[in-house]
Amino acid sequence: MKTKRGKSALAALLAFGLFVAACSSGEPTDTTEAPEDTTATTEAPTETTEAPTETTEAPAAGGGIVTSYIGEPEWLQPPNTNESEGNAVLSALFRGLIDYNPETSEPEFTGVAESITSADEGLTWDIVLKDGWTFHDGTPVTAQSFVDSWNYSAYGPNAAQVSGFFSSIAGYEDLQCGTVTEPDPDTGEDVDVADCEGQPPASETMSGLAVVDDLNFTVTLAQPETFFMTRLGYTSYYPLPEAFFADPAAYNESPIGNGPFMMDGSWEHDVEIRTVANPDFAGEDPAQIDGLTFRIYEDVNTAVNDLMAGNLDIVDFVPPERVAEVEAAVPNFGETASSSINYLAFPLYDPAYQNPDVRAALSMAIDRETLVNSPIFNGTRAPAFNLQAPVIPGYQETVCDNWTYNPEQAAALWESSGGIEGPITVWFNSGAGHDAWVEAVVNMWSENLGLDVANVTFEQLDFADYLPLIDEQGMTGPFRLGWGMDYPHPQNYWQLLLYSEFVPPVGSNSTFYINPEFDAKIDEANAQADINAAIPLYQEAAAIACADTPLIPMFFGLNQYGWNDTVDGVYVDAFGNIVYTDLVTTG
Amino acid sequence: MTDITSKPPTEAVLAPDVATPEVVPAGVPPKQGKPASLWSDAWKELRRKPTFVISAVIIIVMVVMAAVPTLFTSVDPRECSLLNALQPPSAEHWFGFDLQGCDYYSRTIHGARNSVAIGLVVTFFASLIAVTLGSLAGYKGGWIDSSLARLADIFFAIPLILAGIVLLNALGSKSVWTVSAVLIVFGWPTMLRLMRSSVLSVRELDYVDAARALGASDWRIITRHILPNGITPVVVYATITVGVVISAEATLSFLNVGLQLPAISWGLMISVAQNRILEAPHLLFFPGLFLSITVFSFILMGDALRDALDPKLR
Repeated sequence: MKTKRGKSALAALLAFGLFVAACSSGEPTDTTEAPEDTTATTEAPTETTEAPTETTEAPAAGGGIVTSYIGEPEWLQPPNTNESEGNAVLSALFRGLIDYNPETSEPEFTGVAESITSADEGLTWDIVLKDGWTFHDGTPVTAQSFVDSWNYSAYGPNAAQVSGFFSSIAGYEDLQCGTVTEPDPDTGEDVDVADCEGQPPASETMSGLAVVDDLNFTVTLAQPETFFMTRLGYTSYYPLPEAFFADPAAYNESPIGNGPFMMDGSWEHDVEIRTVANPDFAGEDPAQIDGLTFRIYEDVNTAVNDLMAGNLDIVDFVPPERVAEVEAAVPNFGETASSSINYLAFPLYDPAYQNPDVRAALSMAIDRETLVNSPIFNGTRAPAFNLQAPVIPGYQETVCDNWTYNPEQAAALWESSGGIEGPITVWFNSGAGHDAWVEAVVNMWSENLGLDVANVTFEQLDFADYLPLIDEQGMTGPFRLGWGMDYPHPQNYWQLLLYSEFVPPVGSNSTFYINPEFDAKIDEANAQADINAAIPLYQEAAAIACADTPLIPMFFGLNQYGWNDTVDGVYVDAFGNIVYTDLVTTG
Repeated sequence: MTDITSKPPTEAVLAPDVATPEVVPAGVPPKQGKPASLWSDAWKELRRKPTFVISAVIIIVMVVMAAVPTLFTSVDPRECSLLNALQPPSAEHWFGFDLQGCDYYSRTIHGARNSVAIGLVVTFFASLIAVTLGSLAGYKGGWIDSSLARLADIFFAIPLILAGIVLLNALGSKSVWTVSAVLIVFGWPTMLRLMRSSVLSVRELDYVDAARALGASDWRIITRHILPNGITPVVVYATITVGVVISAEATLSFLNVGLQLPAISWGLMISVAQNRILEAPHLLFFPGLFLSITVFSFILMGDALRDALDPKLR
């Protein structure tokens, strides 16, 4: 449960396997709709007395300081930040090699990189930096700052949480510790455990990283990856100043970045994180406000209350059930597309779900449009007829008929395929607000397929129990999952979720979908140097997957945020982060 | 309520009615060949009590509703359309529609089954345990008594709802049976204490001594003399317990550790309603009303029974 904004599902999902680790960080959005559900029962009461109310003496009115909601981050350093809250702070404190366009999510060279090129279709990359960038402590940002940062994150004994992001770089294996097989203290099952003392890594630096000069370094990948550049704006790839390596723990309390904002004092845990504009920022888009204060709340509902009372400027994540209230009570409300998707996956290893017609019937019996517009979501979600989010290049509104609503054909397929005999179990993680829509889905199956609801049971598990069971092929019926992007690229959805080599525990192909035709198409698409050439191939792969229906896309998330009149220029990008440099005060 | 003059006779008749063969009562002799028993006396009195009649009628209605819900509604509670979601009560649909667009009247009627079933099952088995162990402890005394009493104390010290939350979370699967089992496990100690103390007072009475003197076995003494005369407090308490159990089930379901969707139960309905109380108050009102009325009826019934069976407490 790394995330506070109802993203826990995703985050937890990602904690497994290397791609997963990658994802948990990148994805900021959604997947669990009712964050207050979980917190309300356990710790919410403690929250109300929290600091935010005390710190209101510096509201945005004229002071040039903007206050924004955040949950308590886990870490404030690129090697370990893989959850949304730390990610939000770091994206204000740092600027990576590239930046993403807030609206299209396309890479833009407004970061440290002058150019990122590959002469050999994605195997080696030449990265040239702009001159004049400095860290907040005045030291220059050099090629070494990036290489050291990446090596540190990849080095096994550092146990960095984002290590998996670097696995595609040549020599990554040499930085990993050997493993020993030991029984897990909880389950008693044998698992591989890193043994850094007995079997230390062979090297401290990845052979694929080479510094050419202060402003130039090269990256050699283990395998060609044409979209490698697309990843480089992500938190994990930020540079680190020398001060970090001297004392990573101290650094964590007062991180030094190279971004438009810099720390003002140190991280006051559970209270706030204060930043001020960086006067020496080398980018084209410096901060327009004097400072930005992240107020830390344990319960987003408390933040929403503060927002409505005018004690807080921005809440960038309004829970769906409070949207109507916020829209009415707060002067400004915004809604943008996010990269998250919720889907129902089939356990393809279960004999009952091996007939594609059965799966197609279940998918076509769901009226997603009515679902998202019903009072369950009140239009706070967008219906999904595709697995990749609309913010990702190559999005098509529909992929094939199997992922659209077609009750007649669903009933016919259900009839001809014999449907499913006996009880049906639907799985989802508990306490995250999924019960209502899952129940609605089951009702639609009942209505359109004639399936008996009395035969249906729900299995609700804690996320911590839910994900391991998915990896162990423990699902006995359709199960809910969520996904959000690490980097805006179709590969981040199609390959990570459906490619045969990415079945757990290595990856997130939790349906255990295996189709060589699909794999071949993905391989072909990945090999294209030009994204425009790759997109039709990804779309063909998507059509193959859709015809097989290993999963049912349900709905896409939307960022919903509100702000008071004290601030303007508020925009939340597809990653779920506010575009901090656009903020202006109006006081 | 009832006339005070009937009080002494009732008490005196207590013993004789079941102990006729061996005992010549000290008090007033039976007026007729077939003496009025405690139970028939109580029945005579209860028939005239409006609280009893009202609560009995409601309970019967609820039990019938639980057994044959189709008598009350012909609408399938599983037939839902999201297009109707959250519609308020209307002439055609008295209770309106829920979040899923299901007819709420039908859902409420069908919700009675789980609640009433759990209430009755739990109370029956918990009383069975309590009466068996309670009579044993009270009658035998000694180490049996001490160990059973301590055991009961241990369970008694654990709050029912807390134990339910912890245990049901640990169990994972949550059906009518697991919820019932958990409530039974933690539901018997109070009744055991009642039974034990009641047996303790009864076993010292003359007619028990007389039976023992006449060579009656322990089994016979317990079943023929002690149980019939000592069970009244447990019967009264058990009636109230049905109501308490029903509300405990609703509480557990409300907290998401009791019955699980897509089961239909009042507790679950209230749980779903809580987030939308301003938007759709009828979602909370109807299951809440049915739940309160049912619980209230059992408690009222318990009170009436106590008045009738245990005049001293009046």
